Amino acid sequence: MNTELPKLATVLSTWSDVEPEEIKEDDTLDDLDVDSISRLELTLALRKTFNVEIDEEEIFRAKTVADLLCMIETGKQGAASRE
Amino acid sequence: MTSAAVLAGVGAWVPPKVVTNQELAARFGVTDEWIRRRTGIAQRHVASRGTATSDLAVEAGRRALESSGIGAVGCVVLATATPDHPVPATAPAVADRLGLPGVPAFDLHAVCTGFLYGMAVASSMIKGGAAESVLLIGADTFSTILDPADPSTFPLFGDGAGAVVLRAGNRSEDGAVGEFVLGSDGSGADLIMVPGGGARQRSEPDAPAWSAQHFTMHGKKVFTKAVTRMAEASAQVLRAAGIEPAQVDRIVGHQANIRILHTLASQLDVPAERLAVNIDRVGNTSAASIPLAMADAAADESLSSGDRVLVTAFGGGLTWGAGLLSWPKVSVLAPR
Repeated sequence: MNTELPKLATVLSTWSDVEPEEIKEDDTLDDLDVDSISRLELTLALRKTFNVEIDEEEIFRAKTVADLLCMIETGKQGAASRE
Repeated sequence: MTSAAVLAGVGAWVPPKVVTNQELAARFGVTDEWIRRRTGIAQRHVASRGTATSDLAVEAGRRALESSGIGAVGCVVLATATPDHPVPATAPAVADRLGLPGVPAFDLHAVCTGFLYGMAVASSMIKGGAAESVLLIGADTFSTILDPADPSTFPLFGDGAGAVVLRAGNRSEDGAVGEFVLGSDGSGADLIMVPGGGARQRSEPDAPAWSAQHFTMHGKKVFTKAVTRMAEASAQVLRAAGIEPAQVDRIVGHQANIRILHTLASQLDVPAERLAVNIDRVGNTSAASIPLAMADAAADESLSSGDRVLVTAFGGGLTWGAGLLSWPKVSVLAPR
């Protein structure tokens, strides 16, 4: 399991009735009730929680939880290379 | 000796005509619930034909002067993006109608951040000795620049005006206004814009299309930039004052969208219950937004004497800012 999944699942549970521990990598954002405005809120929540630069356009392209994990990983690598 | 500008009075006014979500739902093929869920707005006030920004500004200004007990102020500043005319500025006419002939009066244009910029300017004028007191009004009639057929902008805005009187005082008084953090980023000018009607378009040889006179906004980018810039400016102003976010009693933020306000509170780690909220009743009233929210919160006693208040706004330009003040003991008429 991706080590960031529990933290991401806690963030995603803001919009969803699904419990964080039940959120899986192949769940779609639609499954989790993340609508278009929620995606904007999610962009800001991910920036704060994971301290990564994520663009709202990227979040709008994401279909699944796995896509978000991939963006977080890429964002962290970008942050590390800037340090 | 003057060490601070002090808030001495507050007043606001909205035109009586109300447009509910139900009235817009059929036009845009959405529901009341859909608009509320995405924006927090249930209704907005709209100026009737023949009512211009100055008419709203005069009403709000008169109420703020009454609230302050200061009959004659030394300057009138009007923050607006919808002046009565391209030339001249609207503030002198407002000053004249308020019985303040001869005082310096000027417009200030920073769209939805206009009132906050105006607070910083008025505060500096008072501290620098240029004026003993300033009537600062934020007033806009966005209904005059919105495209009635545009579902992405028309439901968001309402018309209104809010005003404060600032006077010379000292920083230990309730009502004392602190420092401000202001910013701008002109590379994002096109995100919130009325493309036509100004010198850029008039300098072009072709006649302008009427549609270019309407307000446009790129909502997605504006949402994240608004939260980010307001959160950064707020954090900066709190740090400079040596105040932890948890010590803020109320946030009076620009009422653009309830979800922007809630996300801002979350980014600042301040409970959402501390947000002053009136967007449900008035929508986004641009430069009027903050003083109108102040007047509403004071009228329903959710702002009390001694409260530490964080004000923050974001708007076209792009522009943004944040500031701190302590709330004074003032009597306020309900804005409607």
